[in-house]
Amino acid sequence: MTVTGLMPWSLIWIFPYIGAAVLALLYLLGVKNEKIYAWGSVASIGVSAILSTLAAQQVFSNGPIYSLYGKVWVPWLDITVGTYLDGLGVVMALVVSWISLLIAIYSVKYMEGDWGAARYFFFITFFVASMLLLVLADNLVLLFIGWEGTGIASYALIGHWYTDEEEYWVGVPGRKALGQPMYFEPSHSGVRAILFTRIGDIGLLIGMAVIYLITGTFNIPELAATSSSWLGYLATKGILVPVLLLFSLGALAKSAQFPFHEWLVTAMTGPTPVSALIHAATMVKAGVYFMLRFVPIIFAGAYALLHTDPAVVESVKEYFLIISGLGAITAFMMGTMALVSNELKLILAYSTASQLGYMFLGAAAAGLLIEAGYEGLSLGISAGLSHLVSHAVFKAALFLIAGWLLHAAHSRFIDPMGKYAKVMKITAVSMWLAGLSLMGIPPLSGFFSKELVLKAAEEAHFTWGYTLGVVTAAITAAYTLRMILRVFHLEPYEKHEGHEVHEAPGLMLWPYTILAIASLVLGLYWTGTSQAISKAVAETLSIGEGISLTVSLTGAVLMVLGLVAASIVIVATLYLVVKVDFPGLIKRSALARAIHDFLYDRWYINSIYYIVIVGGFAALASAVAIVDFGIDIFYHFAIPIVFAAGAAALRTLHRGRTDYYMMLYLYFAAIVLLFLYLAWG
Amino acid sequence: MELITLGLYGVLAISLIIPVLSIFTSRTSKLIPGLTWAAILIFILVSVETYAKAPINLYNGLVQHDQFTAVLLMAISLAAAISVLASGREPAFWESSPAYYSLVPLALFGSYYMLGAMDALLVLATWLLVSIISYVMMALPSDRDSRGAAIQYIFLGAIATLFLAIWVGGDYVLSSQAGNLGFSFASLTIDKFSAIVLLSLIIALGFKLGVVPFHWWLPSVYSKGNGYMVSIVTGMIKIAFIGLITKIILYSSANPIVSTRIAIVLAVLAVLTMTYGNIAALTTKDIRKLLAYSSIAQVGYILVGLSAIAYLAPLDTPMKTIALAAIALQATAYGLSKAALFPIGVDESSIEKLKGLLSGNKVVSISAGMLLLSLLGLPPLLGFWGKLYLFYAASAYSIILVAIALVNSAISSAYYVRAIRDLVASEKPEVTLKWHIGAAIVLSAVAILVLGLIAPVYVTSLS
Repeated sequence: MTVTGLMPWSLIWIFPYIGAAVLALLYLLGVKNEKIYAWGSVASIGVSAILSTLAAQQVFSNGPIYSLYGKVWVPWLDITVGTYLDGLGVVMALVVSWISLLIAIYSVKYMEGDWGAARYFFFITFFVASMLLLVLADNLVLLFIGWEGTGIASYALIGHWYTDEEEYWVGVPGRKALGQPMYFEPSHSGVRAILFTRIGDIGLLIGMAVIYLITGTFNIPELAATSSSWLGYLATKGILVPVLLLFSLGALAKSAQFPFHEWLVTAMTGPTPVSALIHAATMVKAGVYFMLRFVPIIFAGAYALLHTDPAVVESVKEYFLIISGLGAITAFMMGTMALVSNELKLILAYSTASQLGYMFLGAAAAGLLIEAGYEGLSLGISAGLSHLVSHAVFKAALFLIAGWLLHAAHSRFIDPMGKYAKVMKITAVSMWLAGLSLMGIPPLSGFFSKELVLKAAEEAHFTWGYTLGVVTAAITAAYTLRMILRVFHLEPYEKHEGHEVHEAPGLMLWPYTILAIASLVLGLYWTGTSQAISKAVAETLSIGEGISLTVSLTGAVLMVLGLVAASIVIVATLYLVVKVDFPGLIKRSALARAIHDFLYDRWYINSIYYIVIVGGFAALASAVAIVDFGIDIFYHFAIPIVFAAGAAALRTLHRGRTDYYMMLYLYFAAIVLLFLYLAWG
Repeated sequence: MELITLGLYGVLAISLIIPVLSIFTSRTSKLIPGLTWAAILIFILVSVETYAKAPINLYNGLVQHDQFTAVLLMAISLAAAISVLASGREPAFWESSPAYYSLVPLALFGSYYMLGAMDALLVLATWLLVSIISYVMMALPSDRDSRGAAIQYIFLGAIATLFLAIWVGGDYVLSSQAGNLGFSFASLTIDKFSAIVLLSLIIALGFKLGVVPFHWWLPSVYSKGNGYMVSIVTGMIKIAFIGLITKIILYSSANPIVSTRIAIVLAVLAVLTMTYGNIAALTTKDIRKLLAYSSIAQVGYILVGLSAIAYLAPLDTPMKTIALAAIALQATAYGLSKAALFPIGVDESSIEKLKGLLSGNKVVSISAGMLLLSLLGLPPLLGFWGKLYLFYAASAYSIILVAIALVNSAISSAYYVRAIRDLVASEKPEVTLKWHIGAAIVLSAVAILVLGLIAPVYVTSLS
C-alpha cells in the first residue's frame, strides 16, 4: 500500500527527532530541571513505540506500507523522502522503539544528578530517532543520514564523561600488551568508535555511489527490483565481489565484526544505559539490519541469473562466504575473550560482538544456498532476525542489570562483586533468565534463535562456519555461567568494606525485570514469536507463506545442547566443586598466564593495530616532518642563498665604467642582431 | 587646434625666455620656477584638450594624437609636476641655474611631438631633442657623480642613436620601395633587411627603456645621478619613450607577416627584463639601486603588454584596445611612482641609513607605502589595474608568458615589502626627509589612488 505524504507512519522516526530538537531548545533557553529532559525523552520515544506497534498491526494484516512524500527532495539525484514499512522494517522498529523506551525509563533514575543529564537525554533521543530513520528509510541516502546520526550520537554518548576520570575508563589502568596501553578513557573511546565505523562508512559511500552510477537510483525497492541487472553488469566488469564487500563494509564496521570489532569493546566508557542501547537496540543492530535488508536483494538478483549467468552466482556465493566466514570468526574470537575478562561490561561487550557474529553467519549463510531457492534464504534471514530480536531483549536486560551492579559495587570489575544473590533476589533471577537465554538454554528465546542460525549454516554446508558456531555456543555458556556465579553466588575475590549492597530502585529494577521475563516469554511462546518473524520475513521477501521456524530435537541440536551442558558442568565443577584459584594459577603457571594474557589482551589485535596502523601513521607523520623540514630549509636557506647569490652576481656585472658598458651594449646588440638575422628568414 | 598649438608654443616660449630672464633676477626669485609651473599647467591644459579632441591631426598629418597618446601626455605633465615639486627650490641654487627650469618645459614640448610623430625623421629629430635634454639634465647638479652618470648616459645614448639612425635609413628605403611616406612597416617583409631595420629600432628603444640586454647604463646612471634629475628621466621622459615604442610596435605589427615574429622577440626580451630586474633588486641595500632594478622589472611587465600588442595588432579584436589602455595605465603608474620615489635617495641612498626616514610623518609614510605597493600591483591602486589588464591582454597571446610575469610579480613582493618595512621602521634615521619630497610623495600617492579608482571605469568605457 503506497500512501502519499509522510503522515502518519513517518512520525515513528520524526517524533523522536522533534523530541530531540525540543530538548535542545530547552537547553538553549536555559532550562535546568533534568526531569524535564528525562521524561521528555521517554515521552517522545514512547510515542514512537506506540506508533510502531500500530504500524506492525497494519503491516501484518494488510501488507507493506510505503509512505512517500509527494515531492522529490533532491531532484538531480532523484532522491525522495519516504518511509518503507515492510515485515523487516516493522519488526526492527518494534525492537528499537520498545527496548529504547525501557532503557530511557531506566536512565531516568540512573542519570539522576549527573552533570550532563540534559546532553545525555538529547543524544539518546536523537540516537533512537536516527536508528528508526535508518530502518524505515525508503532509499539509501536517507538510510545513510540515519546511519551517520547513530554514529554521531554514539560518539557523543560513549564520550559522555569526557573529563576522563579513571572510574569511567575501560581496561586495567597501566596494563600494556606488546608495549601498547590496554586502558581507554571515555574521550579516547569515543574517537575510536567514530574512526573505526568511519572506515566502514567510506566503503558504504563508495558502494552506494557505484550502485547509483549503474542504476540511477538510491531507492531500495527499485534496487531490489533491478538487482539482477546491476549485479550482472558489475560481474561483467569483474568488480562484483569488491563492490559488494565495499557496500557491506559499513555494516561490518557498525556491527563490530572482525577486523572492526575493537571499537565496541572500548565503547564501555559511556554510561551503562548507553551500552545497553548500543548493544541491544541501536548502532550495532544497524549493520545486521543492513545485511538482512540487502542479502535478499543480492540473493534475488543472483537467483534470477541462476541458469543464465553462473559467473554472477559464483561471485555472489564468494561474497556471502566471506561475510558469513567473518561472522563465524568474530563469534568465536570474541567468545574466547569473554572467558577471562574481569570487567562486567567488557564481558557483555565481547558477548555482543560474538552474538552479532552469529547474526551475520545466519543472514549470509542464506546466500550460500542459491540453488535451494527462497526456502534457504528465508531460513537464513529468519535466523538472523530471530537472533537479533532475542539478543536485543536479553542483552538489554543484562546491560541494565550490569549498570546497577557497577553502581552497587562502585567498581566496573567483577572482582569486588560476589554473593549478590542474597541481597538482590529479583536482580539475580533476572540475570539468570537473561543469562540462560544468552547461553542458549531451552525454553528461552536465545536457544531457538541460536539453533536457527546454526541450522542455516549447517544447511548451507558451511562446515567450518558451523563448527565455529557450535564451539562458540559452548564458550558462551561457559563465560556466562562464570559471570553469574562470580557476581551472584561466589565469594568476591576482593573484599570492600563500608558500603551496603541492596536491590535496585523500582525505576531501574522493573525495566530489566520486564526484559528478562520477555526473553523467557518469547521462548515459551516460540510458536507465536516464530510465526510473526516468519511472516515478517516472508512478506519482506514476497514469497507468500513463511517457513516454519520451530526447532525440533534433531541429532545436531542434541549435540549442541550436549556441548553446552558439558561446558556448564565443567565451569560449575571448577568454580563450585574444585574451587580452582584462578588468579593464583595464572601467577604460578607460565602456560596459564600466556593463555590468559593472550585472551585478556584481545588476541593482541588492539596492540597490533596500534603498532601497525597508528605507529605506521606516526612513522608517516615523522617522514612528512622530515620532508617538511627539508622544505623549510629549502625555503628559508636554499632559496634565499640562491637568490642572494643571483642578485649579487647580476649586480656585479655593473662595474660603473662607461667603456665597459659600451662594450656590453654593442656586444649584446650584435648577438641579438646576429641571432635574429639568422633566424628571421 | 589653434589652442593646442598656441599652448605648445607658449611652453616653448617659456622655455626659451627663462635663460634670458634669469640674467635680471636673483636666485631666490620665484619668477623662474613660477614660469616653469606655468608651462606645466599650460601643458596639462594642452594634454586635456588633446584628449578631448582626439584623434587630432597637426602639420598635415606629420603629428597625430589619439586617446592613447593623449592619456600619456597627461601622465607626462603630472610626472613633470611631481618631479618639479620634489626638487623644491634646490635647482635654483646650482651653478647651472636656470637650465633646469628651462629644460623641463622644453622636454614637455619635445615629448608632445615625439609621441605624435608619424614620420621616421620626425621621430629621430624629437628623439635627439628629448635625449639631449635628458643628458644635459643628468649633468646639471655638476657634482662628480652627476657628471660621471651624464657622460655614461651620453656615450651609450649616442650608440643607441646610431641604431635609431639605421632604422630611419631602412624606413626610407622600405618607404620608397612601397611608394609611400611615413612609417613604412606596412611594407615590412620577412626578408633579412626588414629584420635588421626592425631590430635596430628595438635596440635603440630598448636602450631608452632599459630593456635587458641593452640596459647597462641604467643601474649606474639611476643610482649615481642626482635624485631630482633621475626623477625627470624615469618619470616624464620614460613615459614619452614608452608611448613612442608602443606606437611604433602597433604600426609595424599591423603587417601580419611580421606580427608574430615581433611578438616573440618582445616576449623573450620581456622575460629576460622582468627576471633580471626582480632578481637583481632582491638583496640590494641601496634604495636608488633598488628603484633602478625595479624600473627594469617594470619595463619587463610593459614588454609583456607590448608583445601582446604586436600579436594582436593585425587582428580585429577589442583586446587590442585593452592592451593599449593597460600600457597607458602601467606607464602612468610607473612614471608617477618613480618620479616621487627617486628623490628619497637624493642625499643618502643606503637603506640602512634611511631606516625610519618616513616614520615621523604618517601621511608621507602611508603615501610612500602606497607608491611601492602600487609598483607591486596591489588593488585598488593604479599599478594593480595596469598589471591586471596587461596580463589579461597578454593571456590572449601566451599563458606561459603571463605565468612567468605572475611569478616575477610574486618575487618582487620581497623587496618592495622590505623597502616599506625599512622606510617606515621606528628607528631614528640619520637623515631627514625634505618637505618638498614628502609633498611630492603625497601628491603622487593621491594621484595613484584616485586614478586607481577611475582606471577600471575608464577601461570598461573603452570596451
